[in-house]
Amino acid sequence: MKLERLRIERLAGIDAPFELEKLSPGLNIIVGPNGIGKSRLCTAVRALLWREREVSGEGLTARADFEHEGSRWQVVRDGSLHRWQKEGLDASPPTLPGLRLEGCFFLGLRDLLEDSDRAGRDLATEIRKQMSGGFDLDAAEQRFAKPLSKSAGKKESKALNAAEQEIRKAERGQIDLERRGRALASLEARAVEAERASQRLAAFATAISLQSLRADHAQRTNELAEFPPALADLDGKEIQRLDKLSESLLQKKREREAAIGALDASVEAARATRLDAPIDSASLETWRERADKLTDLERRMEAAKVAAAQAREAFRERLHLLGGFSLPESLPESQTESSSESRSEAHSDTPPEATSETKAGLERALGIEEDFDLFAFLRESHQHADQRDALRERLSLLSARKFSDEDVRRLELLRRGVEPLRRWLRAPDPDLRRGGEVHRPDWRILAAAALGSIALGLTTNFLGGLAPFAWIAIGAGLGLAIAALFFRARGPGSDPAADATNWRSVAESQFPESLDPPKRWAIDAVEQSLTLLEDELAKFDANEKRARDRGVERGQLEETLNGLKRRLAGLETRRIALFERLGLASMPPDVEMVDLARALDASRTARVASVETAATLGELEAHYSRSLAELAEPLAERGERAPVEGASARAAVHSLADRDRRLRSASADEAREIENRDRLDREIAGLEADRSEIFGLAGIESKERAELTRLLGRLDRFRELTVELSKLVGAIEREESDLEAVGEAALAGLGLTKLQEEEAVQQKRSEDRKALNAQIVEIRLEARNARLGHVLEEAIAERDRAMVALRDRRDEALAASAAQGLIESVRREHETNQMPRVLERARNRFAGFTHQRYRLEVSPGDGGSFVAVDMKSGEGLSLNKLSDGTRAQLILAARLAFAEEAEHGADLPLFLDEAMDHSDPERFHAIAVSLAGMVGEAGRQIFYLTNDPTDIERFASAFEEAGCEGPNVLDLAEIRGQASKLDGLGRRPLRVDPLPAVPPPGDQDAETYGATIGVSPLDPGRDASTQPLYYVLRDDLSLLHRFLEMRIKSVGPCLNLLEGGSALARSITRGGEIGAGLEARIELLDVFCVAWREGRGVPVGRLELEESEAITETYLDAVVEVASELDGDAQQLLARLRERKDPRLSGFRSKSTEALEQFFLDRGHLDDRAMLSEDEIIQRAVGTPASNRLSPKVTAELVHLWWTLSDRTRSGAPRPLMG
Amino acid sequence: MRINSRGEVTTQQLVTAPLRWERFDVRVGEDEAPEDLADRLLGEIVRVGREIQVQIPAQGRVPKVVGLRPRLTGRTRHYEALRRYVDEGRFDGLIRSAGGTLVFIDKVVEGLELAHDLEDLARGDDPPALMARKLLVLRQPGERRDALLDATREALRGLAESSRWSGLAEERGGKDLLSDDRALAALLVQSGTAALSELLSQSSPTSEASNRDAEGEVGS
Repeated sequence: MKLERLRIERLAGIDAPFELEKLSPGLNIIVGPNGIGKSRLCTAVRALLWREREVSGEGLTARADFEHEGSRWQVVRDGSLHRWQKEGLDASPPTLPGLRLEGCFFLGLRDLLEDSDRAGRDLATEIRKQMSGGFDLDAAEQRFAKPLSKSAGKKESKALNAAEQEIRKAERGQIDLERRGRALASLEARAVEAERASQRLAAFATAISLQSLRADHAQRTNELAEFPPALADLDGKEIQRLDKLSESLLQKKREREAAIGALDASVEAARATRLDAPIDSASLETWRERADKLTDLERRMEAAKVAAAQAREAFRERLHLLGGFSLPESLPESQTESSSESRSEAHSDTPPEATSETKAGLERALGIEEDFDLFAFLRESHQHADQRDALRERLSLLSARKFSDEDVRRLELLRRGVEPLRRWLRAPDPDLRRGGEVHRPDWRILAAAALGSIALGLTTNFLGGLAPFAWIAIGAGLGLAIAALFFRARGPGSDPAADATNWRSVAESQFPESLDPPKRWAIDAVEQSLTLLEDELAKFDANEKRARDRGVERGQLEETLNGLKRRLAGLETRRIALFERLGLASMPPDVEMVDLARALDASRTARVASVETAATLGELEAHYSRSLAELAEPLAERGERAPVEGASARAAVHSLADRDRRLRSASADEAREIENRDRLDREIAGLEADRSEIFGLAGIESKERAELTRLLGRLDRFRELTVELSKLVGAIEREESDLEAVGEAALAGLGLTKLQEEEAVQQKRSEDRKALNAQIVEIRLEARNARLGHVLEEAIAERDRAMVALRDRRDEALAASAAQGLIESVRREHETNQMPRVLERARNRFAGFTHQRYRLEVSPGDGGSFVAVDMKSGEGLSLNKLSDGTRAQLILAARLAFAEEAEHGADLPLFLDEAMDHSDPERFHAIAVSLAGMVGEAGRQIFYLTNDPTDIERFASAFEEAGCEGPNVLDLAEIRGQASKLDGLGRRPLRVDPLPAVPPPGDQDAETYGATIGVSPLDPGRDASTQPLYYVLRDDLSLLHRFLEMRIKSVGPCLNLLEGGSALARSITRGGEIGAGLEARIELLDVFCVAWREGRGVPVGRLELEESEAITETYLDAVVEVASELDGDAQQLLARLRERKDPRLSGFRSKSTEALEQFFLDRGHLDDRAMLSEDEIIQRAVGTPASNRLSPKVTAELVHLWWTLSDRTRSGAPRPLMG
Repeated sequence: MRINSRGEVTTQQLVTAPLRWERFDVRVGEDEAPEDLADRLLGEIVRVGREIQVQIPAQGRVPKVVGLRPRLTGRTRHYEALRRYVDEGRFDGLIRSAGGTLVFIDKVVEGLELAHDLEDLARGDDPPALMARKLLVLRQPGERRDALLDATREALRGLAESSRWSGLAEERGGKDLLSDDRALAALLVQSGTAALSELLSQSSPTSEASNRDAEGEVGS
C-alpha cells in the first residue's frame, strides 16, 4: 500500500489546509522545523487508516489516496465519518493489521536506537519483543510477579499462625479460669474465716489492752490512797489566796483606825458651833428675808422722803403759777402729823402752813363742779365759733361760682342750632328714595279693608252664628284701621324723594347763622357737626343745673348762720355768770380761760401727789419698826446680838447661818465615819473567815502557812494520779464496751496469758486473708475481663481477618500465576506458530541489512537465545558482541519482520518520525542503508520526518551506496506557505561529513589519553563485555587506537572481533605479546568483575526502589538519595533505614524496611557472601585459565589496576543511580 | 423458631450481629473513570445503608456497622486504572453513615471486562490476539476449554498446595481448591483479562507519545 496523496483540511495545530502530493513510492523525506506539523501528518495517516484511532482536540478532516494491489483507494475522515472508496466506489476497508500494531509502522527512530543501546545487556529479549510486535511478554509476565514473590502471603500466614496461637492461648486461659472459678467458693469460705479471725484479732488486742489498763488502774489507786483526802478539795492556789487575804486584812485595819480619828474630829467640830441642833432652814430663811427687808425698807423710806419733798415743792410752784391767788408757799402739815420724831427732824425744812382763808379759796377754786362748767362752757363756745367760721367759708365759696348771662345765651343758641340739624338728618335720603323705592300700602285701601272686616264681623255676629269668626273679623278690621292711620301719618302718599329734599332745605334755612354750619350738607358732615354741638350743649346744660343747686344751698347756709348768731348771745350770758362765780377779776377771753383751767388742774394733781408721798413715808416707817423688833428676838435667843438697823440684822443672820452650816457638816461627817468604821469591821471579819476556811479545807488546825505549803507541794502528783485514774477508768469502760459490742464480752474475763495464747492462734488464721482476697479478686477480675473483653472472640476475629487476608493473597497469587501461565502459553504459541515466520523474515532482513555478512540464528544450547553467525567464518556471535550499528540494524530487522508478518500483505508505508542521533553517524548510516534496502528490495514506501536538512544528504549518500533511487524531499514549511529552511541548502552540494577521527595517543600516558578520548569509568558492577576496552589495553595505547579507529570501544565487540577469527583479528593476535594475550586479558577482566561483585550484591537505583513498591512517594526521593550516597549498596541502605538516625528517613516504617529487604533478597541486591579483598581476587584470578595464558605479574598488575580504578570510581565518582 | 398447631417447626434467621457483611455487584460504565466510580460507590454505600434501615428491622436488629464488598463488573475502557485503584485499595475504607449504621467499603473485588471486542482482537497472530483467543475459548464449554482448565489446574497445583496457605486448609475442608471448573474458569478469565490489558497497554505508549509530540508541536 502506497500513499500517493494526503490532504488535511482540519486538525489541531493545522491552521490552514494543505496537501502532499506526488509522493514517491520509495523514500520520502519530509523536512521542516519543529512545530510545522510533521507529527500531525502521522496522526492524520493513523486516523485515516484505523477508524478506532481517536483524534484528540478539534478532530480531523482529511483525505488520502492509496495505491494498493493495483487499485486506487481513497479514504476520507471527517469527525466520526470514516469512509473508504475503491476506484471511486464505497468499499469496505482493506485488510489492515489491528490498531494495536500501528506502532510497527510508525517508528520513533530515536527510540529504536535507544532500544539498541539498552538492549546491550539483553539484546535477545529486545529482539523477541520486536518480533512480537513490540509486545513485551516478559514485562507482562513480570507485572504479575509480585503476588508470586517468595514473601507473598508469609506475613499473612504468620499473622494467621499468631492469631491461632492467640486463640489457643485464650482457650487455655478460659479453661484455667474455669478451673479457678470452681475453686472460688472454697477460697471465699476460707477468706470469710480469715476475715472473722482478723476481726477477732482486734477483739483479742482489745482484751489484752483491757487487762493492761486494769493493772495500771490498780497500781495508781494504791498510790493515791497514801495522799490526804483534803488534797481533793484544793486547787493549788490556796497559798496565794492566803497571802492576799492577809494583806487585805492589814489594809482594812489601817483604814478602820483612820475612820475612828475622823469621827472624833467631827464631834469636836459640832461642839464648836454652840448650837444644840441644826436650825430649821425655813426659820433661817425667814430671818434672812426679814433682814433683807429691813434694808429694803430703809431704802424705800429714803426714797419716800425725797419724793415727798419733791411733791411739796411742785405743789408750791403750781400754786404760785395760778394768777390772782395768794396761795401758801407750802402744803398744810396736817397731812404729816403722824410721822415719827426722827422723821420730823429729817423734814424740818417743811414750808409754813397756809391760812384757812387761803385753804378755803383753794378748795373752792379747785372744786370739781366748777371745773366741769367752765370746761363745758369753753367747749360750747369753741364749737360755736368753729361752725360759724365753716359757714362763712362755704358761703364765700358758693358766691364765687355763678351761671352768667353769656352762658344762658350760648345755651339757647346751641339748642337752636341742634334742632335743625336733627331734622335734616331725620329727613329720608332722596337718593335712596330714588334708587330703591319701597312700596308702602296705600292707607286708603287699608282703611277700606278695615271697614269691610268690621262690617263682616258685625254682620256675622248679628246673624248669631259663627261668633268666634265674627270677633276675629272685627279684630282684623281694627288692626287694618290702625295700619291705615299709621301710613296716613307717614306721608301724604306723594313722591318720597321730593318730600325729603324739601325737609332738608327747610332745616338748612333754620340753622343759626352765628354758629358754624357743617362743612357741607351731607350726612357725614352734618352728623359730625351735630355731635360737636350736642357735646357743647350738654356741657352748658350741666353748668346751668349746678348753678341752680348752689343758689339753693347758699340760702340754707345763710339761714344756719343766722341761728348761730342767736346762740352767741346765750353764750355771752353764760360767760358772765361763770366769771362771776369763779370770782375772776376780769373777764378773760376764751383763750385765757383755757389756760386757767389747765393750771388749776395741774395744782390739784401736785397737791394730791404731795399728800400721797407723805402718807407713804409714814407707813414705811411704821413697818420698819415692827420688822426690826420681830427679828431681834430669835437672834438673841441663839446667841447673836440684837440688830439696830438692816445691816447689823443681815450680819447676825449670816453668822447664825454659818454656825448652822458647820454644825450640819460636822454631824454628817460623824455619821459617815461611824458607817465607815462599821463597814471595815465587817470586812475584817470576812477576811478572817476566809483564812479560816482555807485552813479548814486543807485540814490544818494550826493555821500555819508552812504546813499548808508542804501540803500543796504534793498536790501535782495527786492530780496526775487522779487524771490517770480517770482516763484509765474511761479506757477500761470503752474497751469493755467494744468487746461487748463485737460479742466478745467473755474475753474481758480471761487472763492475760490465756488471751495472748488465743491471739496467736487467730493471728495465724488471719494472715492468709490478704492472699485469699487477692486470689479471689484476681479470679473475678479475670472472669469479668473474659466476659467483657471477649478475648477469645477477638482472637477468633483476628484469625478470621488473617485468614481473609491470607485467602486474598492466595487468590492473588493464583490469579497472578494463572496470568503468567496464560502469558507463557501465549508466548509458546507465538514462538511456535508465528515466531518462526517472523524470525525468518528478520533473518532475511538482517542479512540484507548487513549485506549477507550476518545471519540471525536461535542458539540451541542457550535457552532459545539468539546468536549472529558470521557468514564468512561461520562463527556464531552473541548479540552483545555486535557493534552498535549492527545491533540497531538487527532490532530494526526484527521490528520490520513482525510488521511484515502482521500486515498480512497490506504493505503499509513505514513512517520514521524524529531525527536520528547524529552523534553516532555509524548507526545512522547503517540504518539508512538498511532502509535503502527495504525500499530497493522490498519496495516498501518510507516516510522519514526530520527537522534537520542535513539528513537529506545522509540518506542520499546511503541510498546512493545501496544503489537505490534518491529520496523524494518535501519541504513542509514551503508546502504550508512558510519560510523554507532549505533555502540556500539546496544550492549547497550534497556531501557526507567524514566520521570524526580518533586522536592517536602519541606520547601521552594512559591517564592523559583516557581523558583525551573521554573514556567512561570502570564499573565492575556491570558485565565485563560492557567495560571500555581502554582498561584492557592501557599498556598498549597504539593497539587501543587501532580498535578505536575501527569504532570498537568496548570489550564485547573486541572479543567478538577476536573470536571471529578474521584476518584483522589474526593480525592483532599475532602482532605482539599484548595482542596475543588480549583474549586472556578480557577473560581476566570478566573474572575480576564476577569476583568483585561477590558479596556486594547488585547495586540499587531508583528503578529498583520504585519496583520494590515498598517505598511510598513521600520517602522515595530521600531513599534514592541515600542509596546513591551508599553507592547503591543494599545492605548499607537497609542498615541506614534501621538506624533511624538519618532525618531524611524519619518516620520510615520498619514494615517497609522488611518489605524492601525481601525485595532485595528476591532480586539479588543482597549478597550475604563476604566481599573479596584485592589479594583474594588476585588469588582467584591466578587459578583461572586466563591467567595461565598471562604471566602472574601481568595478572597481578591488571587486577591491582582494576581494583584501584574500581575503588576510585566507587569513592570518587559514584555511579549515577538513574533508572 | 416457630411451632405450628401440627407440631411443625420452622426457623427464621434473625440478624442480631452488630457487624454485617454485604456483597453485591456494581456495574461499571464503559467510560466511567475511577474518580467517577468513587463517587458512585459512595452513593451505593448510602443506598445500601438506607435499605438496611428499612429491611433489617423486620428481620432482626439493625447492625451498627455494615462492611461492603462490592464486585465491579462490566466492560470498561479504564480497565488498568480501575484495576490499579482496586489493587491499591483506593476504594476501600469509603464510609458513610445511614441512620444509626456506619456503612463502609471493606474491599472492592474486580470482575471487569475489557471494552475491546475480543473477537476483533483475536484476529491476528500477535500476543494480544492469542490471549484474546484464550479468553474466547473460556467463554464456551468444550474440549479446548477443558484442556485449558486442566493445564491451568496442573500449573497452579504446586502453588495452591504451597505450605504458605496451609492455614486455609481447614477452610477448604479437604476439598480441592482447583476442582471447581467454574471458579477456575472465572479465575482464568480474570487473569487473562488482566494479562490482555497489560499487553494492550504496552502498545498505547507509542500512540500516546505521538499525541504528546503532536501537542508539543502545537505548543511550540
